Amino acid sequence: MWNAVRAIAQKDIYTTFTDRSLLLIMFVTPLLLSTIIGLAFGGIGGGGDLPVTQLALVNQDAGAELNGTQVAYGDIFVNVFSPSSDDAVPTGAVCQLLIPDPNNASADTGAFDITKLIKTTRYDTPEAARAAVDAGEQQVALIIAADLTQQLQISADSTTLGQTQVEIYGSPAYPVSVSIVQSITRSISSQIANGSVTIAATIQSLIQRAQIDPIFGLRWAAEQAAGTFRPDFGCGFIPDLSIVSIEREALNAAQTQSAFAQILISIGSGQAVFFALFTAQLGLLSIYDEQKQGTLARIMAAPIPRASILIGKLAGNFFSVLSQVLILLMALTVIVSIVEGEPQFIWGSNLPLVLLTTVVLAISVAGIGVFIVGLARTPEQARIMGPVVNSTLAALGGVFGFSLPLFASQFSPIYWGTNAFTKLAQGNPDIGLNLIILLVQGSVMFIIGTWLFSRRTDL
Amino acid sequence: MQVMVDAKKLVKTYNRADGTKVQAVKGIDLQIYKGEIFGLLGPNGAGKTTTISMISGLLAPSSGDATIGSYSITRQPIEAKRLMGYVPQEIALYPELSARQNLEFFGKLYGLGGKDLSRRVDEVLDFIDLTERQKDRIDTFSGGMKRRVNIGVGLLHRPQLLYMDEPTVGIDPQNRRRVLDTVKRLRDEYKMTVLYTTHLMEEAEELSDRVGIIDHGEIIALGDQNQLKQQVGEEDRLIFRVDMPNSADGLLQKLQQVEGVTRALYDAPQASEKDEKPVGKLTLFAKRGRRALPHLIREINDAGIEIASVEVREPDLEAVFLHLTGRALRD
Amino acid sequence: MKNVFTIALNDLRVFFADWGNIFGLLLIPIAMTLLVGGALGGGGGQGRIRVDLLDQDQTSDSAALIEALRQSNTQIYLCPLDVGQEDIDCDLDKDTPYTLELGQKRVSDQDTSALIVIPAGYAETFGAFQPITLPYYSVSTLATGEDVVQTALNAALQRVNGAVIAAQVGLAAGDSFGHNGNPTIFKDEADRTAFTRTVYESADTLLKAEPIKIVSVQAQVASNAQTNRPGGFGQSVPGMGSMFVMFTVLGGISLLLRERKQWTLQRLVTMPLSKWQILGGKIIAYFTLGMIQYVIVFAVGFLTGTQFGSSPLALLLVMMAFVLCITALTFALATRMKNDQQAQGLTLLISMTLAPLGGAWWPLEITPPLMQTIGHLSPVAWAMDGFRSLVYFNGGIADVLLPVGVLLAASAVLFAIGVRGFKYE
Repeated sequence: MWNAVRAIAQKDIYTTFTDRSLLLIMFVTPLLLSTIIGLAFGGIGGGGDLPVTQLALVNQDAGAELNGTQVAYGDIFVNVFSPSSDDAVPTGAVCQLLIPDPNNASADTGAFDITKLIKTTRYDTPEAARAAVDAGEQQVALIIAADLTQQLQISADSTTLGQTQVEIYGSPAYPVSVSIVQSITRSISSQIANGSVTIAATIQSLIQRAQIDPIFGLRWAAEQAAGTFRPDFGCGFIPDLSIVSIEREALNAAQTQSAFAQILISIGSGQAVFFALFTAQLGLLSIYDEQKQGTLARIMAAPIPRASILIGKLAGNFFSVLSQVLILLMALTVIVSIVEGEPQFIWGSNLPLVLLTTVVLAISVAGIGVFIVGLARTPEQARIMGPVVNSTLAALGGVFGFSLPLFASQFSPIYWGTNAFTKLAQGNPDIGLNLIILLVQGSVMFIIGTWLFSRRTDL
Repeated sequence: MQVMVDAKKLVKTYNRADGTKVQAVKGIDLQIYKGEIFGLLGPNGAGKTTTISMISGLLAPSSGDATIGSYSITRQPIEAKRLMGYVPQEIALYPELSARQNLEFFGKLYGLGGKDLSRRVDEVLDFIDLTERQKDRIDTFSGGMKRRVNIGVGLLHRPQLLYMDEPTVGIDPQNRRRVLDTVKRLRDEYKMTVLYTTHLMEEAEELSDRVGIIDHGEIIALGDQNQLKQQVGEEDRLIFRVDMPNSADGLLQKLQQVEGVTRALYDAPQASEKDEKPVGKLTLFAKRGRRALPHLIREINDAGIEIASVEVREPDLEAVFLHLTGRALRD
Repeated sequence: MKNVFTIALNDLRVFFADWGNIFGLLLIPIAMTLLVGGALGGGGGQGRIRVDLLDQDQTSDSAALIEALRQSNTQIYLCPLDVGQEDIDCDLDKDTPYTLELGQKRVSDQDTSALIVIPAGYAETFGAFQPITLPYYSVSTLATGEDVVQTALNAALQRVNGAVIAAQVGLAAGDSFGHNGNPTIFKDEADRTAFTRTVYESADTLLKAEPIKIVSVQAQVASNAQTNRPGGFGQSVPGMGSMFVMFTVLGGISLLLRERKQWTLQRLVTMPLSKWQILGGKIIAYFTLGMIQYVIVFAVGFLTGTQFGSSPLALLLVMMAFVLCITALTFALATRMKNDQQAQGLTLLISMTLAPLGGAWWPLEITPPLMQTIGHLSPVAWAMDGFRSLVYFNGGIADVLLPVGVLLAASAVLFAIGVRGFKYE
């Protein structure tokens, strides 16, 4: 009996791997797709180049007088986004509190050329800028309020600050560009606000002190009149006195991989499983072709138990799926190595677990395949149901590049498989739950599917 | 007699993958008269389907031309096709559609429409005896029923000429009988001209007013059955099933010496799973074969050869083919 | 012409005779359009984001930072701090103490978007105006909300740092009274510290009030005098529609092969029809199927409230140009295919590569410039360009002339290949 099983399985594996059209589905499509997605999100050679943002800038800031000098904070925005403009003024905020550190490499990193990222056009009115965005001539408009500086000034009558705004008018067609401008604007606004707040808070505190200590109050007034009270408020406008920062910690060595590699690990493994689903179904559907061409009848006429035919078919299908996933995993490694310019094995160092995950995934995929084919009443039905189920599982599993809520994703074995491969790639061997879920799901579907399939095909 | 089809020097050449050329049809001249059933007889691969495909406009000839009525199939294809109906060897129907839907669709393409189409479809369904199953999908039909619908499509527009390319392939004897009777009805009742291709001698003998025998892309014999059979003369065929030794040439020569015998051929036995002991076929052509039979039996017995069976056949188309090619029609 | 339409109608009837085809034309495209549109933010708004935060300092200063983080993005909830609150699921065992190792594991396992650690001694270092680094752990995949978390954290730090900067500058201002031999204004170190604290708290209060508000406004595309926020469906409807048009129309390759195999194509050739009539009928049939597919998917879009510009004619032009291009591609490819399996494999390959390459799954705008250029090798990219100018910019016919022109030119070339090489037997 086992000779018959082996012969049938070998025949099926051979016909699968020599069918050029099947090879297109099994290997070419998933690799091509993974590479496209990787390049789209991971950038070519890693890092990711951002597209140039078209910005419409309207500076309405009328400015205000500060200690006898006309100041307009709006010019800071102009200086950053449009350094070549006539009214761009160097911020040149000088802070005496900072002691230049000769060892501080960040002091001389070289200026970042924002014009490579953002192309700015000046507009006179907010309406014109918004219209330009609406018409698609610009992607984002940045509109600085007329009372920007004025609201941020304290006066003899009031030491609290007013409130002003900066408007970002973004086209929904360019979400990335909008978020880039938002991010930079937030940073600039924050610095301006910090500076204004620094002045206001200091003055407030000094006034408070003067109210408690009149002698101090007189002294302060005298120094102001003499012009000797010159606090270094410029320091409030630059971030160099910040003390709290984030340091991104790598969880493991794998986290130093490029974005391209990380994307290929998650998306690529998902694609591998997705297309393996097609192989599992098409491989079993071939039995209907065999019925039509008469070779199945010939096999059934041979002196072998029917069970051996069924087992042979299922075994052949399983090994085809297993081989496909293994080959794809290796191919993805090769692609990453080529793109990155150095050989690297992207699936982590725990090879036994990688292999085990692949085997368990193959059981899961083969189980789904036999279940679908067994459930369908005709091969035509199976050819419709298959892609529906596959695409749904793929979408749930995040294979197409967008994510769904976790509770939805967890319905898909593709999610569990991709999650396992991602963890292994990052050196995390804790994939027990993944394997259990895949094994149970695969086994149950395999058993039910086999029963249904054997009934349909009279095996 | 009026000529319905006049094919002149039809040639079809194909290019092989290695760049060499193969001539499937090597220059066929053929005339089919109005109101007759013309049988085109030949073994598989002789060029029957290629010839009929060229005459029906499915394949463009490499050279030569054919006229249907007075219309050239190469220069006036639309007019020529209006005169003919086509019943291909394949079941050329849409399996997802019903019999009626198939007939209506093809009927429209033949220019029928409205009530005329509906009426004609009813008539055809009645002719092929499928009125009760007209709304059923083709893929629910048996092979014989599909063949009948296949014929029905060819008859929709009341063609003057009907091509039928091996229409009885793969069907049971009952349905085959029905097809053959239908062909005769078409000639007798509807005065239709029929070009009928087949590799079965019995069909050609039963149906054809005239027969063209085709082999390796050429017409090797053409005429009515009596004319063709006269090529083999009044010779009977005596077929002995024997197991001859390898060196049988001496015996064959001896047998040819028997009075009345004109030719002796021997086909060595083919290995067969069924036969315990395979036997060869010794074919002898003889005038008044029954008179020569006892002498032949004696000669064979004297040679120590056991005779498994003997058959005497009077001249038929198979004999003609064998006479002309040295091979059986079924080879 | 009558025969052309007869053939086309018959092909459509054959197509719809199979229930599976109706299933494939309706169910999958509608489901995928809704799924993708929803995932891209069909109705706007993001779901809640789980972030782990380990406060090893437990001081009012660390609490202030946490408060700033919450304010910077109200969608973020913090674990284990928010455990026990209504509608909060941290997936944490109440009895298990939260440690750094547990947090790192949760990040690795993608049970949380990120882990932020406020180290012990934060307040002390903070008070001394010494630099402090907060360790931040995250896993980079497309599925996590990592960018959002980092943005929120940076915003919170800007507020905290702002107050710190104010405090340092204020202190320096206070100290400046004691320069040039003048007496200091502070009684003692405690007084100095108290002053610093006062400045810090004033600054914190002022910063909390958001003196500069950044107002983000999404441009509205006015069409038919109604405002329109396309949301995720502005992308998914034309994107998924284009992809499923490819699936449907390229499936015609298999249908053509089947017709040749079952000899219905050959039968048509033997009939009083010209080859142009036969081809024309088939082209119209597949073109119609493609347009039906588009209509179904765009109907879903309309039902979700998405507007597709104010020029229905321009929309129709883009659709027709794309469907024509894919129909032409079908005929060009049919000349090369030998059997149904080949056709199925190629259909899947072409659809599944041209679709993402051309921006059917995500806007091309978010990909690098080189990928955007390469993407325009796909007809999908040109169709999406046309749709985007209608959806987002309320464009008209003039705005879609370029993409329509390119698609029509491609159609002409592909038809020339397909018609020339079409085999009837």
